[in-house]
Amino acid sequence: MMKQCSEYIVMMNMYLDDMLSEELRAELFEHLEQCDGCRRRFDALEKMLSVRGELAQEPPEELHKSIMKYVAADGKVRSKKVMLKKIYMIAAVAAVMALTLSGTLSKLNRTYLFMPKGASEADQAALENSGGGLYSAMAPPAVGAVQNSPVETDYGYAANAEAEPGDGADLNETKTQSGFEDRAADSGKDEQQRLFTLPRLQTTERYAGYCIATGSGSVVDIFGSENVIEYPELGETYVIIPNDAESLEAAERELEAAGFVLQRNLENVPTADENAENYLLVIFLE
Amino acid sequence: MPEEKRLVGAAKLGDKSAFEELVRRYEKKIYNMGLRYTGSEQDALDVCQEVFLRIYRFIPQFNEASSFSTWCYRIAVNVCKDVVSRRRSYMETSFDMYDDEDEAYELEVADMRFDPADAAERKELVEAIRQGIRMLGHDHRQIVIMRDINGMTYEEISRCLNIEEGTVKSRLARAREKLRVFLCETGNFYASKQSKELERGSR
Repeated sequence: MMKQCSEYIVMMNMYLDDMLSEELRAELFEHLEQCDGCRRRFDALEKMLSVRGELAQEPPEELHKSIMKYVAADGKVRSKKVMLKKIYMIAAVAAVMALTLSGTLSKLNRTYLFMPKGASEADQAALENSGGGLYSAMAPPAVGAVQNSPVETDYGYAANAEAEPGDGADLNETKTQSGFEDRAADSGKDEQQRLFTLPRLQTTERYAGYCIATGSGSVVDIFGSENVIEYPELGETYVIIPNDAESLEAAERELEAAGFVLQRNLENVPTADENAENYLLVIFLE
Repeated sequence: MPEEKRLVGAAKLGDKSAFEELVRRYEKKIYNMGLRYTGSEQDALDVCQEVFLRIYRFIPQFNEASSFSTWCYRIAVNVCKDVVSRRRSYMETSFDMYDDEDEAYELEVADMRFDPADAAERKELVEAIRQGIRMLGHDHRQIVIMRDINGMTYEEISRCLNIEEGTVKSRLARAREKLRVFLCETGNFYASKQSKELERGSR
């Protein structure tokens, strides 16, 4: 089959990067013999790339010192308020979010559990006690729908609540697999009934609290990339938010305006320390 | 690599000297990335400071789903973008070509004026290419820097930018084509017409 010149152009680039197989090399050279334009382009590329080893420059001597000094001053940098960009218009775009709990999410090995439809207040309390202060720190609105429904407990989350944060991931995974889909089918309508955990968070730093949000959109646009770290391969994004009521409220407001959903039912999050400098916001992109 | 894993592990636990060693391993590459991306030594310094500060801040949460180098370059890509968008003046000096992936390749290809065997011409060509990189759009600039300056493999680039390897290949070919056209337009090639005439004459 005849290839187009544009394909040979990609091939010649691969050849010059030492990425072309023997077989395709022969094919490329055969074409270069016949096509004047491609041969000229190849020559030009080859010349251009012959100097690429000289494109890098030696950094100034003070580079290393200046980096280490800057990093050492981290404390000062951190105490600055997070400047939240106002991007309410994104809200319109992301306002409607259909959440599918199969496929993508399980592929990402994300651990969701479901709150029993009628969790009792005692169960709620058990959650609060286990969540490392998260519930009290975040002071979420009551999960009314959950509390007022008929009682139907024993989905196992209370037992989980007593597990150490360290082994939470395994526990949750087993529980998630057993009966997860059934519950997704009959209660998927209600955001607030999902229970979130942070199975992969292996932080060595203490945070004042943890906040989980789900949704889609650009987190960097909201918080500025200096406060955000993205893991596209996991579909997770982490954001550092200063530990003060104002920043936290602003962050929640901005997130919601951008169409993200703040998840209030969390479990097995690492222990929080209310005096810590920052909150950690984890966003599961959907 | 195992040594780097060990350093990352130690840095996660707050070992400052391990962190410093990681800085040493990557500072030169990040500096060059910043320098070629922003076109200014001062901005390149800012890029380095900001990249390593972010690494320092976020390394406790670095979950090693990707390699440290991929993570590091990914942060650098974002920081470079930030620094440039903060410097509005940059926009005035750059053509800021957009990263059009579908544009047809130019049919007329002129011969290059330089003979890279000559030291002085080599130097001139290097300068012209550095200038040309600055004129590329974001995606093209980034990929040329990653491949041709930092020597990253297609696979590394694909992981870092979270794009398919096939996209890396086609984007890189497009980016280098833009660069070639830039060199052509700025007089680093013999004019296309002239070369055509030469060609006709020689027949």
